[in-house]
Amino acid sequence: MNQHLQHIQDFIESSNHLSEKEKTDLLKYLKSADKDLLISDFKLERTEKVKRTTAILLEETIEELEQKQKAIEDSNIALQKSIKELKATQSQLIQSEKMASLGELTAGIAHEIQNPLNFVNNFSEVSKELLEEMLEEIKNGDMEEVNAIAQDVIQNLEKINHHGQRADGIVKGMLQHSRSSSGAKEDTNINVLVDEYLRLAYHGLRAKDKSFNAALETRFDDTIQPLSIAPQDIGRVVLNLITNAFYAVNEKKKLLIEGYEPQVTVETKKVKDAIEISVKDNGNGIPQKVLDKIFQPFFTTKPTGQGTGLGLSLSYDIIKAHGGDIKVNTKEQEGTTFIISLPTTNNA
Amino acid sequence: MKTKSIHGSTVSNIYKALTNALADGFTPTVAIVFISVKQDRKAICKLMDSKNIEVFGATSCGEFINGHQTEGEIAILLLEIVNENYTILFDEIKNGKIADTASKLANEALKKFTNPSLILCSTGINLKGNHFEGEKLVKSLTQSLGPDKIFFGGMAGDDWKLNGTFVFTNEKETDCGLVALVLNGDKIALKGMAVTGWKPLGITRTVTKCKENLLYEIDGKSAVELYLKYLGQEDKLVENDFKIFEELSMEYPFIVERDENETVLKTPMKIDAKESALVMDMEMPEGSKFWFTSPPEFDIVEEVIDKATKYKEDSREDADALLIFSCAGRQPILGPMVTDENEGLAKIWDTPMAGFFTYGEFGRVLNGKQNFHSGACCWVTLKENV
Repeated sequence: MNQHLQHIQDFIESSNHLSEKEKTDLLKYLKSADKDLLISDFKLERTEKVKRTTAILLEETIEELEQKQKAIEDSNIALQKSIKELKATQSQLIQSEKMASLGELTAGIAHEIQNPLNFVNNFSEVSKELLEEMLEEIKNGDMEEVNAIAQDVIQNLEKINHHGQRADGIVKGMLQHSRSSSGAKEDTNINVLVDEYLRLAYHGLRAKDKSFNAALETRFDDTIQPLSIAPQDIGRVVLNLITNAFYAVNEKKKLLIEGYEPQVTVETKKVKDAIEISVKDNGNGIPQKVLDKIFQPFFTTKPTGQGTGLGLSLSYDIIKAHGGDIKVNTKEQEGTTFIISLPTTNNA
Repeated sequence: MKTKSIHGSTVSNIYKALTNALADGFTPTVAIVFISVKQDRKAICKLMDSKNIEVFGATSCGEFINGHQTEGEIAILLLEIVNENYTILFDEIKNGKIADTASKLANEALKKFTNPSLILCSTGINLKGNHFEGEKLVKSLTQSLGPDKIFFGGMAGDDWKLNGTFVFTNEKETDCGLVALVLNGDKIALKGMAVTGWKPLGITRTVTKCKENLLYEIDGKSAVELYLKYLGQEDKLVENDFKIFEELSMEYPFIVERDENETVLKTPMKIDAKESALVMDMEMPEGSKFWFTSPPEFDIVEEVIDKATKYKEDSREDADALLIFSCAGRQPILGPMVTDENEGLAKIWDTPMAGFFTYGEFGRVLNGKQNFHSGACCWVTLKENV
């Protein structure tokens, strides 16, 4: 018992002027007070102890967390640097992918330019001969013939100009393709765009591999109105899909399957609120186990050095940036169809 | 079911108390005996034999009945249960095969009653100083009995000597085993609750290196250094005889995550200086998530009482007897208030009560599943359907 309370207890017990009942009651209260005091002392002592320990634990924890925070901040800086480097590397890779696809086009472009150049050369030679003939007729004074020859020369020059402009357009297109896309949209004739890239891809491959051959079928929907798109971006997607289709049929052809005729079909179609561009091949199809990965960056089934694995990934990004969608239907041994869907309304 | 609780500091005290208890014609068939290792267990059993009373016994770390809390003495709950509604099972665990023993005990209980419920005591520490694996026992027993079966109880103590605890019946005793009072659950209902009160403090920690009960590393740092440093005892690192359990971990155990949002306290018992590791009372496998703790606030006593009060009000039932298995660690934490906790529970149920301070508890938190606890106050009422 508390020393002071003990004194009181002794006093009560030795007091003669208190009745036994009074003594009992007082001693009961005293005992209760002693218990309360004991509990209070205990609580005070424990609270002090817990307070001290808790303060140390929390201080240590805070110090540890500050160290962790510092470590995280350092990691964060390093991570941001890595992300920056990664982005720089990715953009270099994207550019190299572009240049690689340009490489695929080079032969096709050369073929495409060759035609207008032939016209330019032929018509300029013919025109030179016509002008020499015209000089003769001037000497002869046959102005009627001079006039007729002049008309022919004018027509030839118009043709030379037309084919020159066509070559110019092809060169400009090539330059556009190799440049970073501004993403600027312009009304574009989808059928012309698709046809152009189909021919470029086909002639490009043929120039590299004379043995390559495939039946090409185009089904263009003439009711399609010009669509607001970034033409060089959509062109890259179409080129990528067609190049892949050619690769697929060529691979199957190498298997020397009897009766196999490589075929690639490109189709445009107007559906409800969208334009669909589909590229279909009768190659080997895409195995189910890789189907989920084909739109992942850097995923490729082509041998090392032959594909960056960025083609479909970039195509996916481009189509999504246009608010569209790209789907794939495939069946092993039978072929694959990629379908691009571009919205005609609310173009993103 | 008629019940009485008695206590005494000697065998002769108990003899007198028992004689008084029987004076009114009370004829108990079972004595639940909680007794200090200092006391003569055999003499108590012999005394009960002479009155044809079957003994369910466990050594204690402090014992109590209504109005009396003691250390080094004897507390007994006497129950008048008809023979067909109970049996006492005793099993010694040989070669550490807890699962086999638990399965055997469960099968015997199920053979006796279709719906058995158990008051269960295991040993806490054997004579070699090895801790009993309470979690393993509860898991095995729950699996064998079925998840719906109820058992409450605790691990025997030895007045903090930590060198040998015992469970016993009239004729048998062991330092590694189980004693179970198996009741016919359809006739005698057990209802109870476990409440701990320790709270997580600071950030989540992860065990990164351990081997059996040795805890080497926490978050990649030395467990010994981290524990002592964080609890302000860094200077004790160089002391060879620092009693970590008595001076620190009894109050600051770890709270470890376990299934279904429940936690369990795990306590460093000593430092293995050679291995530079904390010797835990229970294994903490690598990857275990845990926290340092703060001891229960003083209002935990009120919380225990309030929960029991609400439970009683909701169930609208009374009880024939109350048993309390309270962790020995609650004594130093709650000080004089630990008596309030036990007395408060006895007052709510207004029935004969007995209990002891344990080295581990078996029971269910409110709406929880059967689990092993540490640091808990685990109470259970017995009520015979009339």
